[in-house]
Amino acid sequence: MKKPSKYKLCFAVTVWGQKYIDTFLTYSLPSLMSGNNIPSLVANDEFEFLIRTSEENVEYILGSGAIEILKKYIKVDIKGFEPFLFKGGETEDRYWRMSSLHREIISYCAQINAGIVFLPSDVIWADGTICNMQKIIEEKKPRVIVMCTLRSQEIKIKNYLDSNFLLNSEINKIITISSRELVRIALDNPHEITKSRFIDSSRFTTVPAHIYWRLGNEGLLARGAHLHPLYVHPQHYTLDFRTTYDADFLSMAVPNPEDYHVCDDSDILFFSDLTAAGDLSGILKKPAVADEKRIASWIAKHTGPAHRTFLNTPIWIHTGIDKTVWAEQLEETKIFNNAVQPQVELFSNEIEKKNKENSSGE
Amino acid sequence: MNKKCFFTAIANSKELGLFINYTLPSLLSKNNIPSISNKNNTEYLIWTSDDYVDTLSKSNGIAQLCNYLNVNIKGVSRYFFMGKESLVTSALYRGMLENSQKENFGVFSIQPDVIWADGTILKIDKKANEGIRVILAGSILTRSKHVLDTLKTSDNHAGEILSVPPRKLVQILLDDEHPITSSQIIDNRNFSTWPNSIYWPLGDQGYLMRTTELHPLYVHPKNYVTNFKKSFADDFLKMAVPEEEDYYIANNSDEIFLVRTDFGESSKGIPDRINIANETFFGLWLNNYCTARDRDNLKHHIWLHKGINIADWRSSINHSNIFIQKSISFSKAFEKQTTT
Repeated sequence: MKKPSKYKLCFAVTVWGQKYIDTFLTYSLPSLMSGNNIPSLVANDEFEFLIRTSEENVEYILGSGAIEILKKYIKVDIKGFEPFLFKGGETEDRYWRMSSLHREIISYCAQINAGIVFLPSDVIWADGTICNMQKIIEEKKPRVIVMCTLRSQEIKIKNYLDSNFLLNSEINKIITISSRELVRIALDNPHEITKSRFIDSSRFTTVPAHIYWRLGNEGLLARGAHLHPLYVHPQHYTLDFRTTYDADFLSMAVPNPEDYHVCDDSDILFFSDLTAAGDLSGILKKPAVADEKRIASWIAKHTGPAHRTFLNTPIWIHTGIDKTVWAEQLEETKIFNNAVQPQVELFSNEIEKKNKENSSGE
Repeated sequence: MNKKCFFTAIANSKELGLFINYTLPSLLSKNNIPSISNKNNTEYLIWTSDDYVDTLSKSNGIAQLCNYLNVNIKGVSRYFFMGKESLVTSALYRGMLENSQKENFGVFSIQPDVIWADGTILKIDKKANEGIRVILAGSILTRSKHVLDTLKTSDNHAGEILSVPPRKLVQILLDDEHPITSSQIIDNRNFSTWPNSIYWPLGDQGYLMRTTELHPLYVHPKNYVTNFKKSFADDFLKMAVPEEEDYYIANNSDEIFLVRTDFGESSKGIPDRINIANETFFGLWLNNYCTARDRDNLKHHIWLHKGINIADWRSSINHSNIFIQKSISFSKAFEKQTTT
């Protein structure tokens, strides 16, 4: 029996460019349409699915069969912006476009005091994630829910889904994949970025947003300061952020760490990012080992106080394990956290001091 | 004669205010937009946030501009104007260029915070009509808001005009030198830590400028280029007009002259302790912060003056040549060191 919802929720997707739109319509949206994701929502005017894109993509998206199915469950609102805004530029421009579209969404949600569910367009969702998110919102009433995700190899995962789900799917090409199965295929097809985030990597990342400890072949334990904000009900619907929804917007919108819920198990919430093989962000050509000081410095520079509290929660990403067997690994992650947190504080104080000096110098 | 358009991208409210109060009145001086040729084939495009369209449309300056040209103001969703200004400005240029290149337009790039000396637009227009595809010029900062305000004239409230001949504009700069300009004068004991331009004084008559930054004032693309990565002044320009023979560098303020209306708000590079200009530091700065093209810009001698005989200032050319050449040698040596 589905319980009626009493809160407003906007599911938000920003997507442009043919490749990303096709990935969204062919893989990501079908995984959101599994029984315990979007269809588990009560048909209710309080929920909306917002898609923000380039004007030249609106018709194509509207014509897709996946959108037709989505409309059966939730009110869909697609808005396009002028095509020239989406052309050319570099990585920085891509983030600027995404944040500009998010600002429009945040502004829209501010008018109806809605919570925002941030849905990346190029990910595969584990069945049950949306249903579990609703439960957490209703039971724990947090303002923010953050989760840890895994980057996997785009082409390999797409091939796997094509042959195991889409080709055989009899009903509307929906992808129903359990969290444990999704973790399994993500672990079997890890992206280089994922490999570089293991604490024992010989080419350890320069972007330690997440750090992983192996649990044999059955999963990993993660600590992360830059987790994905799946749900945000802003205390302040600020548009005045400089970077992105998961960085300074989050710190400004919900400043109090007590308003955050960190999901600690992939059985509850999980998605896997489909990352192109050529994306080697944060991976050095020469060998590098994990260094607590460098990790602390990165965290201090790229996160806010609330983000840093995420590190205190160990996150289990697994294919079905007995956690008690992995107590030693858990202890290792605790020792790591205890060593890094004070250094993060030191670096943060230094940064704050420098910022104050610079602003008084001006 | 090819079609032409003026283009201004306005990214924020500060630029809007400067554009309406200074840039536009200076463009409306007699020997600027009112005197250009072929007005029927020229239009003025202003692209900005939805939020500013109303203010612009109702301004007296725009009403007056419409007497000379077809003016087209385009509003773009305000949400794209809340991040880094340079990103939205480049996006607006991309949008404009996509259309204007199809029409084979020559584009006057009018930045919204610039005062144009009277006669500058007319000279650019003439050069463009001679077939020059790119006109580049250096710029210098002014903080003389009050003086410039007193020079504005108004004709029956129809709109303000700011008509300043180039030599008078140089005089204004000299009378109230911007602290950044002062810090970039070669013999200042508090020499700039951000020397994007360096000045050799010409007595009390002006400056000899050597600069890494030359701005494209007019561009008539030879190649159709869309989706450039960085900016109109950088990778777009290189791809759209690749041959150096198509470029004209404005090197005398009597001909083409513009100042940036910073009004003293910026203090970038002004050191808080003694710093003597030297070739090693400048070479290292060039190596760290400049492209090969920026370094190449330094070869030009740009004269900003109240009326001099350039032949009398050979010694300034020599001094500046020695400094620039040594600095570039150091820069190349640093570059070699870094590479190896």
